[in-house]
Amino acid sequence: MGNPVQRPLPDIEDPLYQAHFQGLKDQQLRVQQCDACGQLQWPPRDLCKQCHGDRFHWPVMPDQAVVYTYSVVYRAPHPWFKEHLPYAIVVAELENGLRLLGNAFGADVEKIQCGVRVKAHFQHDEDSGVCFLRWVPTTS
Amino acid sequence: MSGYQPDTAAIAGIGETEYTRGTDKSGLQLLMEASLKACADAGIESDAVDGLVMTSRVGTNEDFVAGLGITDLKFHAHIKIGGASPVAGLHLACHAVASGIAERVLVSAGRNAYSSMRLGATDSGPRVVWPGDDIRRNLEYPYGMIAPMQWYSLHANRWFHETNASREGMATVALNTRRHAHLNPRAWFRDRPMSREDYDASPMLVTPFKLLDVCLETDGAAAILVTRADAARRAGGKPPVYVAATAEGHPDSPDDLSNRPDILGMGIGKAAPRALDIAGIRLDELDFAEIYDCFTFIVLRQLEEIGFCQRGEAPDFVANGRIALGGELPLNTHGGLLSQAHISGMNHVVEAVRQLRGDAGQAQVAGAHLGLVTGYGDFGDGAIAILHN
Ligand SMILES: [Zn+2]
Repeated sequence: MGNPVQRPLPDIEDPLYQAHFQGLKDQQLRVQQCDACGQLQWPPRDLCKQCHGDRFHWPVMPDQAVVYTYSVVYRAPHPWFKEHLPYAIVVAELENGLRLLGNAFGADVEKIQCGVRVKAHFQHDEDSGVCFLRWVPTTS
Repeated sequence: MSGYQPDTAAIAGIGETEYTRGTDKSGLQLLMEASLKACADAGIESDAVDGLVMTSRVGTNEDFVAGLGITDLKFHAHIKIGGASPVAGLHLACHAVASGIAERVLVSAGRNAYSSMRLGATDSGPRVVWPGDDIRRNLEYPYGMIAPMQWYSLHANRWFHETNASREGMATVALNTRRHAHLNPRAWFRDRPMSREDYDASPMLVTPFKLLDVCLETDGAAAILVTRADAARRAGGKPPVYVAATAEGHPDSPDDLSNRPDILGMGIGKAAPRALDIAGIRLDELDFAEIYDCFTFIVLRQLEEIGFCQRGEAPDFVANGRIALGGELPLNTHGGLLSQAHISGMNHVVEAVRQLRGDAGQAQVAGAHLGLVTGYGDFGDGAIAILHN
């Protein structure tokens, strides 16, 4: 075939996720907030878990977080990730308790631990037009 | 109140195919073979089955009606909570016979996972449809969170962080389970030793899981036949194994681990107190336990959430031979998913029945009277059964 392996891609037009993916392109972390009661929720859902409202807006969250949990992967579950081994999957918790999942790549991934402070980086992929979230440890 | 009186239902028959790596049979053929054996073991004709609970991705009720020659199917259900499905299927079957919807309910599980992986599937994407498909496709697969060992590692790494649990527990479970497989002629790894050095040297796949922390892929199927206990006694076959209680439970946000408020929370933690209450027993009365073991660590976590010990203490609980044959709580006496076969945990139910019939061969727990079986699936769904003879 000769085609390079494509990274698994999200559906950035999915109505429930579109604002989030546009946010990543704009270098912003946007999550779902209920118009009626103000509940923040992640992952996005059709109904507000608190009041069952179905209208939402997408406020920007701070880009600082703390590692809640993580995974360091040594055997790729998909061919695209083979050349990035080992890579980390990082679930980072914002101050308001929401947790967003992103990657960490590079030499330092084995140093990732619960409680480590991280900052959001936004990695734009020209070919797919998708921007991916990376969590990068901060030194302070 | 559950509406289920202890010992209303019984497991009257068990059936298993050979467990292999490589088969010419389809998943459906394997399911039929195990089902026919379960009927024969119960001493009933397969056409008299009148209820079906299916827990595999292959096989519809129509397939079973045709394959078994069922003349009057009164009830069927298909359960889709991964590895918790077989025990949840037993749970449903018990209530079905107790309520009278059906009298002879077949619960089946099976897969030709090993052969179908080799023949058709590629490593280019997920093979199993998980709950919360939109969440998976949009927020997890793009980040390389694709395989069960990766999701469960999120749970495991947080567990180590919160509790400072000993790292020794996973090795204890792996080695104990393999030793038990050596006592079981039906176990895939019956002849394959595992030393502590083998465990330590096995490659890290995803922190904290080494290759030897992860279950087998095999081909095979298993089935059980559930009837009312009085009917099982009248049938005059093997002595029935009585179902004292069953329950299922689901974690908070069952389609999403990352934002589960307490990522250590599991369905089994909700189900276990219900089952113990219905059965009217205490955990220290159990003679053995067959605990779902897709990963070594999930055995430890279930022991904690069931209440055998506090969070973080399971590595100490399983130490010093407590879970070995001859110990206080022999665990996974057949070799489990780790070392017998991956039949989604139906092999755990089958083994519990063998123990309670006194048919477990070299792995027989002396004086086995009361046993526990669990299932674990998807992102923390749980099911539990308490059985006795
Ligand atoms: Zn609301």
